Amino acid sequence: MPNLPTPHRLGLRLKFTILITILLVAVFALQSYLLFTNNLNDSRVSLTNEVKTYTALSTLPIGTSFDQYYEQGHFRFGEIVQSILDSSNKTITNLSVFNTNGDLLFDSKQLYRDERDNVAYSPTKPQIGFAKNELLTYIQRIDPTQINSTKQKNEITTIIYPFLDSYNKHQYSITYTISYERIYKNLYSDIQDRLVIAIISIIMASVLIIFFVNISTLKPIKQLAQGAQWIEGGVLDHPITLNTNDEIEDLAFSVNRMAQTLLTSQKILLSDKNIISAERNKLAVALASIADGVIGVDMERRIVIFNRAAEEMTGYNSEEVLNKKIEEVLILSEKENPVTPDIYCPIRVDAFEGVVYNNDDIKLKGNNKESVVNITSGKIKEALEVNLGCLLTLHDVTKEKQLEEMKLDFVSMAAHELRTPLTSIRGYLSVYLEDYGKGLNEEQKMFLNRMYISTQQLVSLVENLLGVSKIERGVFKVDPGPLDWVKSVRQIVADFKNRADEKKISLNFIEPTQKLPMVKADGLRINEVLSNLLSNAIAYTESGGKVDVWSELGDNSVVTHVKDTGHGIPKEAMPKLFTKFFRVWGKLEMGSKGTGLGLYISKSIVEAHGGKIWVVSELGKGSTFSFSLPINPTNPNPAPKTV
Amino acid sequence: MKRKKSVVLLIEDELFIRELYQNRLQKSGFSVLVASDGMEGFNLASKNPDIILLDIMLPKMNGMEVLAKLKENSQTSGIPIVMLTNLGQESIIKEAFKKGCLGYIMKMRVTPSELSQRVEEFLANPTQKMDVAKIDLD
Repeated sequence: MPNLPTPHRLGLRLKFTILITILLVAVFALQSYLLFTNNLNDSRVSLTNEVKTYTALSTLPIGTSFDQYYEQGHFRFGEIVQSILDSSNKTITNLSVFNTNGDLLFDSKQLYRDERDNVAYSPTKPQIGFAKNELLTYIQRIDPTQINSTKQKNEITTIIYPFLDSYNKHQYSITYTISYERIYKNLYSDIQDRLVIAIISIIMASVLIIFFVNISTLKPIKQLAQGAQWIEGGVLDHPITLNTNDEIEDLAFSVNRMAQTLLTSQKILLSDKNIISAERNKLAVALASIADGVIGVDMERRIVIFNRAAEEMTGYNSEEVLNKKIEEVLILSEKENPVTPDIYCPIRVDAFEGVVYNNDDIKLKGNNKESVVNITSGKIKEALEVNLGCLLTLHDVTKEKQLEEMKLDFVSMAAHELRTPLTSIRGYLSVYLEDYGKGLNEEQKMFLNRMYISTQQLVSLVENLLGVSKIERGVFKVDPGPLDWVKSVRQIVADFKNRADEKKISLNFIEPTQKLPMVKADGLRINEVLSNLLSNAIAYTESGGKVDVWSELGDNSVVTHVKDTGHGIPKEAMPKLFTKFFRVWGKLEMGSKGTGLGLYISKSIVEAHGGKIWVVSELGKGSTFSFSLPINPTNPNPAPKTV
Repeated sequence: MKRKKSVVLLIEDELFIRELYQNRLQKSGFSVLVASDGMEGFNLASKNPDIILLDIMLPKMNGMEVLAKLKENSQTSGIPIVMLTNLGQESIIKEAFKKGCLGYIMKMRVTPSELSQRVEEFLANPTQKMDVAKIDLD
């Protein structure tokens, strides 16, 4: 179970509480303000009316008593005024009497209580709160007037009432000053009571609302949060159960569904992981058990795979070489020339997939161990994603190479051993023909000639076998130099004239129509090629046939053609024509059998010169063998010395 | 013949070949000394022949040793020596020339008549070494 985080300092509950409290306080304040202003106006109006009624009633007795008592003795009038003020319940704070001239005759401020608690009168006249002129306009009116004013933040209303005597003569005006203090006092105490009630209701409402919010919202949210934390902790099979019938339940449902999806994905991932792990194990077992060395390097050519066969081949332990750069561990060379990692393991980031390098004759130098290998370097499409620069497969061909070497040694040795008796046979035959040829009859001469030709063929066979062995060993060399090729061709054709004549074949050298440049070739070797083609052409052409030889200018080369009217070459034989030990089937004259090596050697020689050899043939009509030789670059257009 | 016959020392172990070449060379007008092994050949060289035809694969002492010894000896070092063999490996040919032979002939590539012709050419220019590059190597 995952640890729950400590709740935030300002939790949802506190936020709700503050919000609701602010709301309630605002409602209360608004209500109080409205109530206060309404009440204040109402109270003020009613109080003013009350005072107006009161003054209307009291003016007559005051006026009458002022006439009666004020002249005789102020004391009595003071008592009446004091009683009126007292009975107004302090609403009337001041009472003054003015004559119609605006002179203050009496003011209640002059009254005080003496030690016997009797109302006393002080003769000093107090200040009038109004300017005399202003007051005069009100006082001289014969209907009651109301003046509203503000003194020292207190609202004060002054009512001026006229006193008319029994003859309706305006004698005095009496001013009553009303204070609203009482109303305020009443209102404030009212508001105080309301405030107490409001605070109590606010607290109760808050508690109730929070309780409800807690049950309906906060609790499910907490449950939801807990569920989410379970999911976060990886517990996915633990759905959140909520029945709130609102958005929170929807949310919980979504969260549950998400967890379900996650669980499914997790299961798929897990099974994929198992499959991958199984594949990897399979691969590891396969890598360990195959006989070929497998080395994998990353994008920086550090070794990441090094199987058991690779260990055996190189003499390294995989622990020693892993994470090392491949060039620090292995040295590759081809025929003494170093092969660098850039060649056998080019790092490519493109989408190419397949073999990037292949060579079947690589010398591999490892930890005091050398072997000859066939190396194949491959790249996969996702090289960058899996950081695999290339995968090298090494097939140890050391033993095969040794066997091959032994075979070649054997061929070389056998050919050499054959040379001694052949030299003897051919030597005696040639001497015999030279010395006694003239004394022999035609038949005897023919027999000996055939013996000589066969021996010659045997010599060619042995030489060709040695030639092939030379090519295979790689010791075959050409030493090209400037060569007047047309002259050579003419000479070789002339040398073959006898053989062609014997078979009654017309052998012709067609002189070139233009002067041909010198070629760059090894005379000794290239003569072999033409001799070979001529000897084939004569061998495969019937008596009465024709062999034409000519040279012409090709594309930066001199091309030589040997055209016969022989049997031609079947189409299916074409691809194998220039390979080892291949001979075209079909009828061949006795004694004209070749070694099946001539064209293979010829091709090797021509290609070593940088030329090409090809054939165009039609079955039954004959063949044309052609080969090209590069023009000697130092002297591209010389005139042939002799014609 | 008016002129004194040139003397050829032929060192060759194979009887048939030895007699074949001996026969032809004699018919061509040479006086021929023959030896059938290296030791005998080396000894006969003291008779101061005009040219020596020397095989390489020889019993008792092989051709390369004979060549070296003859060239070391001040009495015989001036005699032109032509190797006459069927061994065509480049290394052997190069070594032979290094040791001082004048020419190198592959037996199988010449008829006896051609051989005697070549001998005459060598005798005509006894100091001109054969060009190694012209020899068809194995």
